[in-house]
Amino acid sequence: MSRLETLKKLETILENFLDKAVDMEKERLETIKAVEALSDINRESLRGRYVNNRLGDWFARHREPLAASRFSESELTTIGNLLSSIRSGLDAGDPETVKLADQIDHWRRKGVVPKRKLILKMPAREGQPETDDRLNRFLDMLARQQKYLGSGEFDGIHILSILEDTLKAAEAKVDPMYLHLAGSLVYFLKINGYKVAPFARRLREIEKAKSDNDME
Amino acid sequence: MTWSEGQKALRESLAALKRKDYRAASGFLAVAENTFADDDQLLILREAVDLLIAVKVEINAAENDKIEIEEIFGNGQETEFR
Repeated sequence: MSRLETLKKLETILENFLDKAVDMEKERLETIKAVEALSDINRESLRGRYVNNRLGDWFARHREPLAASRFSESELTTIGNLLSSIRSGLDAGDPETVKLADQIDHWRRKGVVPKRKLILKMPAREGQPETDDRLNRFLDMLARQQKYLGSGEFDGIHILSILEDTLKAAEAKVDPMYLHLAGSLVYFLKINGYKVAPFARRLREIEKAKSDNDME
Repeated sequence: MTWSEGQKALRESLAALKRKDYRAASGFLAVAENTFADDDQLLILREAVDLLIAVKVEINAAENDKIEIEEIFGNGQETEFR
């Protein structure tokens, strides 16, 4: 067998292998679509849009959370986070919404829960001067926010997704910069005509949780 | 890179493999690997795709080696190809 013939045989073997590998990945592709669809619904919900129909359709397609071990652990955590976020935006004023909230609770009972975050608290610093140069501290915070946003991590990302990430960071981290940045983004979006009520509500909840933690 | 961006890259790579666009698939798999670094299945898939690309390059080179270029003369003068 010549070198060319050997190469062509290897080419055929690899192409057949990849065809079969893609077939095996089909189910994973379906899972990806399911998580992305839920992520879309969450984004719409955060924008204050009505998501009951889409959420109902999603549950109709994915009736049981753990059927055939379809979802991996990390996918279930992501779904748990998304459902928790969507549930917090549901306005339980009608039976249909209540039914959807019950469905989310059903998934939660089955183990699809948001990931708990470990929050490390920094002890209060001793010996801080009684009077601070507040303007410099404010400018320093703005500079750090600019550095955070300009790191390249958010290039090409929609500002609502950036706000979503910032809120998550504000929830998980002690640094007040994220809270400040989230508030700034919410206000920026508000003056540009976005519906920001769900974001403002989440920001208030995070603030409250943090101040409760500080008092404990 | 967020989890959803990694998932999107994986989806794009599978779509590229279906249409046999192996170079695009390799690129998307490289992006997906940033998110799924511990996914052995994904690693094997990417290695196989990269190997296939290398084999295709070798085949192309081997086939081109076979082409003999002949100069054509008409009436004793070189004919220009266009």
